[in-house]
Amino acid sequence: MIPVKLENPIDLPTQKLSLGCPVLDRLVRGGLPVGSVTELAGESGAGKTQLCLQLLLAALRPPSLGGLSAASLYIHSEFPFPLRRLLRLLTPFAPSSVVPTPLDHIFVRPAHSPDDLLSLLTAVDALLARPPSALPVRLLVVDSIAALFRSEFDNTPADLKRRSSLFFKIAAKLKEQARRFEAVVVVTNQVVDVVGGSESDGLSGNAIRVGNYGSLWSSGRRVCPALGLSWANCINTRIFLSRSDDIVRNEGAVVDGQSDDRVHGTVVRTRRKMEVVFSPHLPKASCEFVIVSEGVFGVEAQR
Amino acid sequence: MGCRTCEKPKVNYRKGLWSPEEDQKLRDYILKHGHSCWSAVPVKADWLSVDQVIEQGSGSFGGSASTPWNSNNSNADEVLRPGSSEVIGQSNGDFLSGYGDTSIYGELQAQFEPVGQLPGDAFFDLFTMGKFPGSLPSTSSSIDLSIGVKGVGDLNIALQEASDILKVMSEITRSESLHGGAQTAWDMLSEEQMQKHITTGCEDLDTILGGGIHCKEVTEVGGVPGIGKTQLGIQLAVNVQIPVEYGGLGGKAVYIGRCPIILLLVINLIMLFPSHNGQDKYYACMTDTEGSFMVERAYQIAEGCIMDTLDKFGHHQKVILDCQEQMQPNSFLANIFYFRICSYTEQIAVINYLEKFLAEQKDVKIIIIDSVTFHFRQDFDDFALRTRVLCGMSLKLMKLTKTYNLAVVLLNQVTTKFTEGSFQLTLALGKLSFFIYFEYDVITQKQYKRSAYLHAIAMQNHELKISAIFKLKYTS
Repeated sequence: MIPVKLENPIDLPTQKLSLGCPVLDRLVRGGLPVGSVTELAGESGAGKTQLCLQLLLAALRPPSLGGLSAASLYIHSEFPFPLRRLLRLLTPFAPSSVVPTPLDHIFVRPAHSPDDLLSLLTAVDALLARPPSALPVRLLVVDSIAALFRSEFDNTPADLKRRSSLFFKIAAKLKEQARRFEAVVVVTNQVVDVVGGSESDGLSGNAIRVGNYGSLWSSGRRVCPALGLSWANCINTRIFLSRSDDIVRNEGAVVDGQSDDRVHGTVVRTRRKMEVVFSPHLPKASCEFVIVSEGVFGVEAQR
Repeated sequence: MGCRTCEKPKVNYRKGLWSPEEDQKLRDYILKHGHSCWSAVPVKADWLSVDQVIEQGSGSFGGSASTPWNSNNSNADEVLRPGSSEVIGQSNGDFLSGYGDTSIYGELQAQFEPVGQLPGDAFFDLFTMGKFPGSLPSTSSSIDLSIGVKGVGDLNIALQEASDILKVMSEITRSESLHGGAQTAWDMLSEEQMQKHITTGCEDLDTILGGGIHCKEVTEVGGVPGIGKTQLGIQLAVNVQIPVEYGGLGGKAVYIGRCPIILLLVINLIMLFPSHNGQDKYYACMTDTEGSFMVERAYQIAEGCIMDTLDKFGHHQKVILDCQEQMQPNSFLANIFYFRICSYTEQIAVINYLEKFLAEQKDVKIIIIDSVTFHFRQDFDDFALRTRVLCGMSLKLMKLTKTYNLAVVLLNQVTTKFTEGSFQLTLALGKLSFFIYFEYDVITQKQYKRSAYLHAIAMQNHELKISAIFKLKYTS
């Protein structure tokens, strides 16, 4: 018989991992909560990996500065690990006062398929229980869960069902680890285009894939997070990162010294927006952000 | 050649009211074999073969043409066999006629034996009164009751008189109840009517529910992620604790779940628990399967609930002070018992444990299970096992509601189902898992308008699709 623990809600931990910028923290009311799975969805180039890297370093900060004083594990499936970018982010991060060798506390593993990820997560249990470094591992990042699933499965019902059951298995494992080791779990997801009727009610045709996401736009296209409704049931919080390119016409200006530029100073400005799609504790809100060499920072809305 | 009936000896039918021996036979049969249809009775009871019954024209079973289960009156309301959605007959809206000479279940007659001495028997049909779908007794009660109107029209007894007679008789015979645990239909009816509901704080949603969430029932709420199911769960857990004098139940909640949803559910008084004076505390029990219960969210909801109560009742300075003293957000949170489970085995264990827990902890008034199906959607190779497990769970929960007089709210996910060439949203794990209670259908979100639809499964033929629009409030 499994003993059941009775807990009083007041004692539940509500530690949060700050995103590294006060404006963004205000969006997420303090940071990403411990013990739950947060998903960052966005198209390529939206800034998901950048934000994840920033989180890896933020976790090393002490709780007084919004961190967890913890090591982190980064599981990536798409590209080689962006080590150079991480090194660039290290410089403004004040390591000596906090942690002498931050890179010693960041563990990186590649995953190639969903089953690979599952077995990896089982092995991670051991890592979480007995961390090799001095700090406990309390941040788990899976960069692009979507990439693991996009290639292997056809669009047949049987395959979709198999895919769904894998979602639930992986999500259950992640949640269990988040719960047992008081970890923050961050998962990255891609987006897919939404084709077809958008004005119909939520129960017809393509709108099903959208679920309840009224309209998420990125780069001028209607998109919705990949992996469908099943995966949406597996996560606790979904944050959508989008980008749009605005062409700002600046008459008479000279761009880069090219006075004969036909377009006369047309500047393409990338606007990035981060919004909360759904969450147990966050209201719908959005905020703009920029990616600079020091990291990802939010921008106050200007009136 | 020659017709069959001429060749058989003429059978002397015994017409009129059932004799007490016949009633006793029927009562015994039901206790032994449970519910079934009439044609199976003689077969099961080994009295007659079905053929013989048909040939005899079903002597003491009464005139066949006008029995409730085969009358073709299209204006009639359907009478459902208790505990299921099978239609067993029709009855007219005014229940003074339409049942012919037979009563559906004779066992009640034993309780009304003194009444049997009165000319004619007067019964009420439980189902045609008020037509509340939620009043169907569950299969867990030992004897399901339904009474047919019989011959009242013949007696020229006014309806009011008949009901008075029943009331008196039920009071007299209450102590002579046949079996411990059996209730007269009258008791059940009056309890049902007295039972106030847990309102949702949102009037439209209350209307859907017929006043609110009922205690002694299992309610399932389904919706896409982010629609507000969990918020509803947390709101319920908070509202169960609103003190009685502010319209609440003053109860505790058990939260087994993941996401909080805001919808104020004020639990009304249950007849059995008259006003408390702040000393009895009721609790809520929450089981969290997905990890979405956020304490600060619950705190916000508790604060919001207190503010709403102050708005409603704060006419008096004294009332305001009283209210603030009694209702503190921290105390609200303290009365929520929270279970966090990480696998389906734990889920089953918790539900088993709840029985013991509820026996010791008397004042839990609501159990909320968040995402009851989350752990079951993984690779369950054996679907039969899964169905068995889920059915077992649901039966246990229903038994808990009846035994401890509390409400159970199950939050469920939705999934897409490919039917008729298109994708439809449907509750996860289908309707096999739970089947005898109210069901909130998919809560959809259209342009930030959340709406809720109610599907009453019990009435198979009328799916009440009433919708309400609600929204979530966040305080900063």
